[in-house]
Amino acid sequence: MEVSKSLADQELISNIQAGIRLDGAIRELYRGYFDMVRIYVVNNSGNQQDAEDIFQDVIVSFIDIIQKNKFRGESSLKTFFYSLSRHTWLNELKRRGRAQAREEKYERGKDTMEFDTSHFIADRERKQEVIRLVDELGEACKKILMMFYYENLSMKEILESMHYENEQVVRNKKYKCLKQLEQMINEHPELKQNLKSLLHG
Amino acid sequence: MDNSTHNMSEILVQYLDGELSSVDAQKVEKQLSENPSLANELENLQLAREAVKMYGVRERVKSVHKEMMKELQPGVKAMSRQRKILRYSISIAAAILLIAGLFFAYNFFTLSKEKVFASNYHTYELPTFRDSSSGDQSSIEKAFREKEFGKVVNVQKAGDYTIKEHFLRGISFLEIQNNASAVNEFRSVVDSNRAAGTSFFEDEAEYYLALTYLRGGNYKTAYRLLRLIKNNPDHLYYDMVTAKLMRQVKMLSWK
Repeated sequence: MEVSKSLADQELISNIQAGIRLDGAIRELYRGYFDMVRIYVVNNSGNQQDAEDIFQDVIVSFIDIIQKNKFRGESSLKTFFYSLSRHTWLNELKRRGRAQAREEKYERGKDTMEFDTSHFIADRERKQEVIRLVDELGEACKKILMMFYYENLSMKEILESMHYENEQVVRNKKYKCLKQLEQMINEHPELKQNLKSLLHG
Repeated sequence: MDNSTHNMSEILVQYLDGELSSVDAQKVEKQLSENPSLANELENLQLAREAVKMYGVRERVKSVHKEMMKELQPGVKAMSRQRKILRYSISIAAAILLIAGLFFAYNFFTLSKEKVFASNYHTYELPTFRDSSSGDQSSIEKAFREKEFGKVVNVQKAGDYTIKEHFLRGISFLEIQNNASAVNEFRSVVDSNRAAGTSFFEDEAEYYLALTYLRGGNYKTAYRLLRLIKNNPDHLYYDMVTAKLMRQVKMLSWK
């Protein structure tokens, strides 16, 4: 199969893989593909809000796919992104029990995805559950955990932006927040299983 | 949770964050292999950390999304605002048109020549001069002042009627509902003036002639006469010929 990754695509993928300039990469995805996805969704029983929701989820899945090195670049990023969006939207329609989904299922079979993205699409709901769980934490907890585990900031940097007394207070707070989330996961075995399948495929 | 468990949890978090020395890490790993409950806790902590990362990606996308919607859709949003305004304007215009249409339809269907005539006709009053009670006034004029219109039209005269008498006869015929004779009398006023190069009662005759045609159902002629009056600001009856009257006569002609 022809390798059709353009230089711009390659740079974007490298950035996502490395987790650098992620905002810039996401912006590029919006500039490049949002309108395409919006038109598709709006023309297939969706509205502007559906398109926006789907696009956000597709970007999350896309980042996940790239970071797990599941994208081999056998099709252009555009083709891949369109296909992923289309499958995600059809899946959403199916979830909503729309007749259109059944009609389009036939068409769906014609798609040639470079790998099976079905579990990424199915993951959408599992991810939403995880997001809801984290959302239950207080704002301060979410902020401190995000800064530490997602943005990889040091305790010192967190201290500077959150106005705690000292690094030890930050450390204790971070510990309590993570522990709280750990207990929430422990109390929800089904969700824990979802999370495990999300992480390990 | 006792202190030892609390401490162990803290150590597990430090282990998770890679903050322990290799010696301490090995100690923890040994405990983990021996203690399934501890291993479960570590697994939960790892999942919690991954959940936070997932949440982080979602939040990041969400924040860029807001920013990008502003960048990508100003045209679309402006357009929707314009469309909204346009839609409201069209609705308002449609409502106004509908109301106007209903109003027009109501007026159209309830409009009659009798109504229009009645609201524009006022019995002509002769001006009162100091000598008007004197014997100089003709019997026609005298009867007219007494509003004895039947008498006015029956007064016989050896010679021709004066222009004034033609006019008073015209009004009297109007009063007794004789349109055809009224038309003749008013036309006589106009023709006599034209022949003599005078303009006695000419403006009055033109106005009342128009009203006579209106009541007789000859709307085109009535409209033509009224337009002549309306086009002449010096005409005595210029102010009497309103746009409403013109419109009503026009509407009657459509019926």
